[in-house]
Amino acid sequence: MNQIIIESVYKIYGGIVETVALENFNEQIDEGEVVAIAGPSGSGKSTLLSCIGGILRPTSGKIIVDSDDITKFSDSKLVNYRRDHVGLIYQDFNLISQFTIYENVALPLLIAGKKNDFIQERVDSLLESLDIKRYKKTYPQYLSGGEQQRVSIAVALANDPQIILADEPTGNLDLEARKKVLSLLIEKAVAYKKTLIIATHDPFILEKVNRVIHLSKGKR
Amino acid sequence: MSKLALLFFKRTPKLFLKVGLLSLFLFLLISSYGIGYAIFEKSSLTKTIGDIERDFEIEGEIKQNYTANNITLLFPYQNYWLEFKKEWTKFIISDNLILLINLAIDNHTLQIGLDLSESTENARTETIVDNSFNFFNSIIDISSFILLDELPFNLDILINYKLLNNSFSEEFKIGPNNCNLGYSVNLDEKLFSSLNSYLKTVDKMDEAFESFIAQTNLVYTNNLDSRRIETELSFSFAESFQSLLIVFTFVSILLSTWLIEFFLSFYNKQIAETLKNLEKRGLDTKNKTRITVFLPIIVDTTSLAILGLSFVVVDQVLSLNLIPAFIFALIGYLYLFYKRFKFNSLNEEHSTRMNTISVSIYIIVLIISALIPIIVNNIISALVPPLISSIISIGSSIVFYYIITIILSEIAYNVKRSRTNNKITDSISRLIEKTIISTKSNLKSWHSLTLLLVWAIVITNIGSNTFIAEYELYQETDYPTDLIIEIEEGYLANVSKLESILGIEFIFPVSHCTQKYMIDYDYYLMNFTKIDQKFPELIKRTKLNSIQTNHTYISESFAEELGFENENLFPTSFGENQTNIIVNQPVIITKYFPLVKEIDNRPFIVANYREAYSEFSEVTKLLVDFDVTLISTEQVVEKIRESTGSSVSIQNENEELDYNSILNTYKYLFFVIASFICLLGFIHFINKLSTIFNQMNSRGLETGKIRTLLIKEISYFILSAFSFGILSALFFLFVQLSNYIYKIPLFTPISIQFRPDLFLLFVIPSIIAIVIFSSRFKKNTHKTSY
Repeated sequence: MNQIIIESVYKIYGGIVETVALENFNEQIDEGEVVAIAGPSGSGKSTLLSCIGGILRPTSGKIIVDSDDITKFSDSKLVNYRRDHVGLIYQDFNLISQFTIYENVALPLLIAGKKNDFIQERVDSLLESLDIKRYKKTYPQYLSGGEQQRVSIAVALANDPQIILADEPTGNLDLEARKKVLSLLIEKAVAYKKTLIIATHDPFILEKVNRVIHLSKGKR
Repeated sequence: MSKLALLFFKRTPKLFLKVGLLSLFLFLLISSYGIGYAIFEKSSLTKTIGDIERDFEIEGEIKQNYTANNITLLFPYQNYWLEFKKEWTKFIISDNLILLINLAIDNHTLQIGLDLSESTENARTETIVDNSFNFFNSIIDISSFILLDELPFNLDILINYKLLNNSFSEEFKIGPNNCNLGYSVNLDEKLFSSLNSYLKTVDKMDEAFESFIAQTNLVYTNNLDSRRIETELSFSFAESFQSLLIVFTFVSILLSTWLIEFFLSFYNKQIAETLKNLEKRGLDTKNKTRITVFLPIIVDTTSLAILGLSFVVVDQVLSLNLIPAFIFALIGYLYLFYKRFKFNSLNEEHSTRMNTISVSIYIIVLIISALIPIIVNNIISALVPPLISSIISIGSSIVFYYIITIILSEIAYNVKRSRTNNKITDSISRLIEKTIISTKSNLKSWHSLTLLLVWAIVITNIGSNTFIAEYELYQETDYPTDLIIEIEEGYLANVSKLESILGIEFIFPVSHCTQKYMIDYDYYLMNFTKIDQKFPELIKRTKLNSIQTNHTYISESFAEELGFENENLFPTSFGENQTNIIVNQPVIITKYFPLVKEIDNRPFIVANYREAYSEFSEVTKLLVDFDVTLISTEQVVEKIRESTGSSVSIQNENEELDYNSILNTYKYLFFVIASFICLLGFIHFINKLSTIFNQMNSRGLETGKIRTLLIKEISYFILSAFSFGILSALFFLFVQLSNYIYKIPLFTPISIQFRPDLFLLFVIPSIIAIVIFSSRFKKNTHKTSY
């Protein structure tokens, strides 16, 4: 069971002035749950997401995913965790502009060492389900914001991770694209039984999720 | 300039400092030809004048007849001469106003010079025992001879009128038929920046002397005959050195052009990014233009002004002619100026030249473009004056090789690109390859830069090694000794004591006779017995112990004319095409005196030092031959130091002019700058790639794997750049080298050394890549906001 347990997590950024991004944060997110983390800018949403995703290490505390404390993982194990268990969706899409849509989606699968036949089938099916197959050979910069975000959903889902982390996924989209992308994201998460955690302050998203975790200055 | 623009300047001082330093550096690089040429000009001037000694002479036919009775009427003309000299005093080292007398005796003509100058303070004199001398039926009673290294006007004798004790004999008659008046001066070359400026001064003196001589009514002015110094450098290496400078020049200018393009876009992008922020805060277009265009121009202009100022200072201190260098810098500035205005479109990515056909057409167009400069060069050089033609020649060569470089880079890039495009991106390594290929502009810039540098280093290495091989050969024949040792305080002890040191084969003591003569004069003495032992072919007839201290040296043919007895002769054959004889009686100093051989551009006088030694004030230099298997250089120096009791130092190189060190300094400075630039380009390229690799890393690609793959891919581009560099260098050798590099004889051994500097181009970027990637992906994470 891919349950996420966050225990007494602190994240302090060093520098001239120390910034406490997360302070004694505790939370439990069950498998298949669709959760939104809400809060104003600077409240620690992205930091929490990055800690869960293994991009940042918390200063202290535990993050237990599937019975393993990922804060104790070595660098290489953390890379494997990101590759096999987590799918990331960013506000600015984070697509590699030098790669085609196909290549962008195939990249996590290639990194995971999947076979070519499987990759081709998997990418095609994902692009088909997200209605962007026609852009397979196109480069990201030639797509609209909504379309790019759909590609980044495909990238996040490519390796069939149990956890999908979305950081302000609708931040750069207009109202219509926002509705479409969000519906698609939640729909896919539910369909594939994924744990979806969305960092946002978009009220539209807050209405659609199972649960909302409110953050303020790194605390609940 | 608006306050906002100034604020921008204030807020980004580092950026502008970088731009300024870069501009300064580029201008300096581009003017390297001018600097090199100025050094060469100056060196050549020293060498030329040092060798010729006699700098300028003019002569005119006198109007009156003179006999022994009225010849003294000529002497007051020295006052005119003094008047004339006043204006040029600061340039003149020594001078003579000379009456040139041609005496025809039997079938032989002797040219005697009577120096009418006030004194002989600039010349050294020698007193002889018998000062009444019977010479060709004229009794000339003189107290001393004037000694000059080389006599002007091809004189046989030069006598100062003040040294004459009494007049010539009654038979002595001179007039327009056999007499001219001339002057000779030695100018101080240190005060001139180039041979041209020197010759200009000589021209002015020429004109002044003509008008001066017209005033005196002494000679027929329409018969004035100027004899100038040889302006062409006669040294075999002069041409090759100049050629090497041309090689350095266009490589430097080519490099600078590349750098301007490469770094200009880099820094302009930085400025543009900063401006974006300001735009969001309300910066209007007018101010934006001011900041983008005018501020960098102010920075460039300041850099150019600083460079110009430094040139003026150097010019004043070292008398180097740096005007051409500044003109080159100015051309660089104009190019930069043009590029700044042109730089508006920042979009360099994603070229449409994707397919093979368009690439082929592009390359054909480039090749045609490359040929145009050669055609233009050939046509224009036939039509314009040599100076302009030489600039065009350099310019067209630059354009030619610039285009060749682009072609080779383009080929390498497109070969790799088409290979990548044709393959399905079914693996990580292919994606990495694609990533590198995609960052086209950076890759191409770096690749071309590397190509250019490899090419430049190969050419300069081959060129300079060829040159050095030739020059070292020259040195070897000219300097037969292993070591030249300077003795600081002079040495008067027994030289034979030094020769008894184990391992030392020869000691050639050298003396400066400053006490006896008015100027420093090197005498090279050696032991004839040992010379005979070591080089028997040099001694034809020897009569050891018959040489007296007042001996002097004349040519064999002249000795025959003078009727010297064989018993009185001591023949040697040290000079090239010259047989010299030591005679056993005093002879008037002639033009044949005393050159037997030159060392350090000084006459090399052969004498038996054991007898002649007391005549010389002190030994200041020792030329030592030794057996390296028995004694080391350090040991030789130490033993000599112990024996002489003076502090000694090694003088390994020719003090007067050392082309090798100039060349090596130039070469290694170029290499250091080139390597630095190559590194900067590489770091910039890696930085550009790092963003993409961070994205890959965030998707789970391990750092180690990225590093391995990246180094593998980068190696391809380094290797291809190196291979193309070698190819283009070979191309250069076949097409142009024969025109630029001195052609050395086939039998001369040439060692083309591929020193570590070439391989550093592989090693350094690899180390940098490892260092950068180790630190960048240390934590396997990338930055995020919170």
